[in-house]
Amino acid sequence: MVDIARGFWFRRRVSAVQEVFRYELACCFTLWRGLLWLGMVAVPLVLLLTVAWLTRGRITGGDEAALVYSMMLFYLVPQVMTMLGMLLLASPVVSSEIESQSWIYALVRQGGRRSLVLGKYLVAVLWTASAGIAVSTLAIPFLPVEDPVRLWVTMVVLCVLSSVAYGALFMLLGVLRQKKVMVLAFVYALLVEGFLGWIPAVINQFIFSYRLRSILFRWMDFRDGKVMRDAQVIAEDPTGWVQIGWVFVMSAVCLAVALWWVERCGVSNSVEA
Amino acid sequence: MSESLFEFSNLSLMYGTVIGVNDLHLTLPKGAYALVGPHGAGKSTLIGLLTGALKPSLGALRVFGQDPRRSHGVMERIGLCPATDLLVQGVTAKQWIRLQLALSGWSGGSISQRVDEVLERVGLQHAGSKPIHAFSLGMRQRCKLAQAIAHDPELLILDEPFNGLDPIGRVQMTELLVDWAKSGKSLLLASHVLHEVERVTDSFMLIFGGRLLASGTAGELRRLLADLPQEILVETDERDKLAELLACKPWIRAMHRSSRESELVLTVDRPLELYEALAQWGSEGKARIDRVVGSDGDINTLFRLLVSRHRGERAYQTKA
Repeated sequence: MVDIARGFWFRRRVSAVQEVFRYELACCFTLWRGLLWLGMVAVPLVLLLTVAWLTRGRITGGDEAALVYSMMLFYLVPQVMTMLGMLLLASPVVSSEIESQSWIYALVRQGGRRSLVLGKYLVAVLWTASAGIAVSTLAIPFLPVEDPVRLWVTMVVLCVLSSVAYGALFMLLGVLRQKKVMVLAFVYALLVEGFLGWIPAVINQFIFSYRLRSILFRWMDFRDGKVMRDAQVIAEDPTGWVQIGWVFVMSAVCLAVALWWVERCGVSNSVEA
Repeated sequence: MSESLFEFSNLSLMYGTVIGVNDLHLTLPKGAYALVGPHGAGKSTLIGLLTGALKPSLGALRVFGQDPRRSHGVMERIGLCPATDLLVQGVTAKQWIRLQLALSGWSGGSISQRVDEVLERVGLQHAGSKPIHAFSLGMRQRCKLAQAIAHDPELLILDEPFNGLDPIGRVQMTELLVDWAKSGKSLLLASHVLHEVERVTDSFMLIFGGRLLASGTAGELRRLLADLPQEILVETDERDKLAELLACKPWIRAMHRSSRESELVLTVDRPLELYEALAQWGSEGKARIDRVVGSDGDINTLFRLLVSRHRGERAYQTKA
């Protein structure tokens, strides 16, 4: 009997998340959101193509070209663009609801806050990952690399992984703090992902940029990978699958904490709302 | 034993050093109630506590016999229409109510049918596909009401539902709430406008400074009014003679002459006895009374009087 009730409850929650996903996705098909998505695709695309055009014939040797263009693509798309997308979509998960005075409606519904956070998370991942995949698909054919298919597959996987990871991380920040959350997320991205991720210590192993960079170096099989591994700025992983596992585990932890906390944070939010 | 609607036991909530709700102790059976008080009286705070959005600082409360912050089932039995305006952008009324229904646990094809039903019930059937941000304030109020009743709750809680409604909207809202109360479902209607809630329910809770000043039906509150000291103005040509007659009465607390020669201002403990005495003296020719200006006996007067007493003022000042 209890199992039936739990199953029923679970089905209802899944249905609620689906509905939030549908609702948030519909909100993405507005002029403003559409322009934002196009802008996020256009800026790195133009930058990549401009650099490729300016450096044509100057970068010789397959490995060097692959390293330069892969790193550029990696920093522009699964790093900066994804974090920017999540800064706009995931970090204001609660603050945007408070701003539109609609948080109270989720607050008074059992499990409403969790469904809302999960649904918004899925839309943020889809929205950002799709932009990243679009940039990679449009840019790679014009880059002078020897194995564009390999680079494209790597970039698509990294775009999905970084969206899953930064979505969960920025959701957590948005749930923990509602005031000036975008500033906090920006500072976090700059200091932790941008700076701490390069410090060869235990701390960088808990930073997403370290794991994503390790996957890039492993899957693209760069010659400089050994130097990077010795300097402990990428992980020792013969296949890259361990890094993918780490990304999913760390994302799941961030999301779980966000979902646990969001049920607790109703008190202060309702007052503000 | 039937399930009670609300149980407050020494319920208090503090916002730092500011009192939101102050030591409420009350049990109410199912029914329709009006929570009346001025702005900042603690109505929205009490609603926040009832819906589990706020946590009591002291004491406890139960809704349908359960703690709203812990019980998984109780929130599904409550529909809330908050006082805050709805500022969502770029979504239609149908989309938004559909989302609220899904968050309440509804799923499948029943959602679309239910959305149409509630939109019709609040008179928004023709505006369901329009974006909410393009609605008038009154339409947004009705949209909020639609989501509150959409999941078919047993208790409807409304915080200032008449805000922003035009006269026709007010009448429609009143009719809808009267129908709701008549259907046997429970209702808690918070408002600062007394005459609006009087049409919906006969049971009142008067709140001020987070304290429950009084509760009961309109009749009970009027009886309470009669027992409370009030200031009454009497107009007579025989002011000194009347003052002499009144001076020996135990229910006269104070009297003084007004700036106008013919007026006497009395502070009376039991106004009904004064009215009887004045009638008797008038008929016996002991004193000629031209006019008596006292409390008009309505709920509004009672509220002002109770607030006045709560503030520690000597007596309620009649608006002559």
